[in-house]
Amino acid sequence: MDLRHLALKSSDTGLGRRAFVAGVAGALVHAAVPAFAHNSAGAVTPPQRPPEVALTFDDEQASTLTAALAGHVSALQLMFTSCQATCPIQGALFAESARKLGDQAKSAQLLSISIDPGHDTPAALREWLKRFGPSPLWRAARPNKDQLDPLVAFLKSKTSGPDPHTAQAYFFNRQGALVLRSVDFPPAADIVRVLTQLSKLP
Amino acid sequence: MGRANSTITDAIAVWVLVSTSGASCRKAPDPELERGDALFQGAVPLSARIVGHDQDLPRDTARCSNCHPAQALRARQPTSVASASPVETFGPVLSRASLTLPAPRRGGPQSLYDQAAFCTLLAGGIDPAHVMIPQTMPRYRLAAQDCQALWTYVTSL
Repeated sequence: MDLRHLALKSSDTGLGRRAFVAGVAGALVHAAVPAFAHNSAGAVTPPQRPPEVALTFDDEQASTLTAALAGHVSALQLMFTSCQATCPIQGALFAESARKLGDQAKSAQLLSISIDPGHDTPAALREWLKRFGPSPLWRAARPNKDQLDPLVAFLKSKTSGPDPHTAQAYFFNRQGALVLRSVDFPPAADIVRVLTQLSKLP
Repeated sequence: MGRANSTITDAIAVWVLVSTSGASCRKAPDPELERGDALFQGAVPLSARIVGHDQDLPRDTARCSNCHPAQALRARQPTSVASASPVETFGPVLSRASLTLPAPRRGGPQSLYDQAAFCTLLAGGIDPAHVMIPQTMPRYRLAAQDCQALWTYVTSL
């Protein structure tokens, strides 16, 4: 995925949400077609609120997805700690994103949500974050197992292969609504650009 | 007593014969195979990145064995992923048979790998039938001798 021209469109011209969405769509359609027809990558218009999901974070704190997203601009990924294939790369990309973010977008956060809540205890999630380099901007959580399927369906992340989730990132605005699905493995620099642009919107 | 001594002597003779013949049949270590094994398992780091990215992946995330269950490895180490885990393997099993026997792959016509085709796929993501492999597989920068070592290893499985 190359969202560089998207970032330039919004930041250089000061255009609003409509230009942002148009830029996102253009960038992702261009980038996504050759590789992953099964991914529903692209802008989400109008933005959509996720289903209610109870979460337990790596620090044992209990919350909900709605509460966790509110007031932040967020990049979210699905993963599980025993995953050996895509998840280590996803973890490395979010760790790199957190390092690059610094204080560029003060309200930005990165969320890794496990699709294996029976196995991924808060301790397992802490260890997983530690493996890649923890950051105050990056948290992991396990959902209530009964609320996982609606979340996966909402994100359109389910795959038919042996690894049952995509390696996409999902971007949420400050109101906690989904505005963008990336292609698989979005570069860290692009995650930072999108979050930075989202943070400039009301 | 004499018969017992004779039996012990015979047993020792047999043991020496078996041990000696076993040693003479044992293969000398193959440095290329060992190098390929080390590359495959990540003991020797690989340079790799996702298409479109401007940074190499961390060492642990790019090893072949993360996604490809080598048959020998699987036989030696039954999967540690519990049945509760959503996934057991991600990439196809690599072996001499899976690589070098003609088969349709990724919806393309029948194709098979040789060393050159294997190295082309690792570097650029194009398989022998000229089909692009998924973006989720990193592209690797390998010295020619390392790619040869990897090919030697995977076709030994």
